[in-house]
Amino acid sequence: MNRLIHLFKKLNYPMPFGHWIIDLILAIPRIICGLLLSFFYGADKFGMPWTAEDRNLDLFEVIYWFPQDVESFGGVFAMFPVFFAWMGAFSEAVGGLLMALGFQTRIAGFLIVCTMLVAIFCQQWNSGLWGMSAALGFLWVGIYAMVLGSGRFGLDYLISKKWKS
Amino acid sequence: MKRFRVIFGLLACIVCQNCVQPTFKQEVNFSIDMRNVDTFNTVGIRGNFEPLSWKEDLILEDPNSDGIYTKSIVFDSPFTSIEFKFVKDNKEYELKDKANRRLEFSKERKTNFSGVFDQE
Repeated sequence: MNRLIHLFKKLNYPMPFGHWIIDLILAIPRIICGLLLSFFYGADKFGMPWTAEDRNLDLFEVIYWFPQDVESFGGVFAMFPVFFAWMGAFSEAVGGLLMALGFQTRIAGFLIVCTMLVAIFCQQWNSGLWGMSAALGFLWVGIYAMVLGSGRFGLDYLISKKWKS
Repeated sequence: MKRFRVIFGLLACIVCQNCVQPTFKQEVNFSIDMRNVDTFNTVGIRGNFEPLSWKEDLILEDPNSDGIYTKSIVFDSPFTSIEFKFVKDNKEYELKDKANRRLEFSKERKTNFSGVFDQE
């Protein structure tokens, strides 16, 4: 149990840079991409409190067409389409919000990276570079959020400071 | 460890339970009065939900030649309403610069719509 908690703390310990300006500059795309993912791409297919009413989605409910879309990817996605659709939509809607807040940033970044890799290779591959540019953008931001954590501008930083003291 | 099991159990319950938006079959009978339209070859319907689309017409028919064109469409939809417009000759939308027609589905899973072309 203690090992798990230790690992969890380690996982969420952000890597602040020498000067706060570097953290601020890196936080801007992380926050913008997180909010875009959560409030637009994610909320379009996953029931969140801010999902448009005409979508008729309950809380944490994935939109009806998404599992069918995921099933068409084949392989393991065709075996568990509901699970992967739910995880993908959750990663965008909830993971995006966590990434924007800088809370559990590495876990959120990991979820977003996985989702974007699936989107790029299984969904957008035939759409050409322009078609996959949005997913690529989120992938890059997800990668650095996963590696660096939240930096100074995130809840993880405040929490880790409390743990330290 | 017990706490983690409970968390994973809860997560599994969330994921495995009915977490996909349910859809409902809804049969809609459309009928549009074309008697006030002088010349046309076809009248179709376009809308925001499959099998309707804003790109292609679903053609209505007038089997008894009384000027009232009909079409029965079954939607498999999670929504409670649709938006649509009628289109003349595959290109000319009715109600130009006006809002789309909106139809609320009935709870009995069968809804009728009747209207006059280009009139709200």
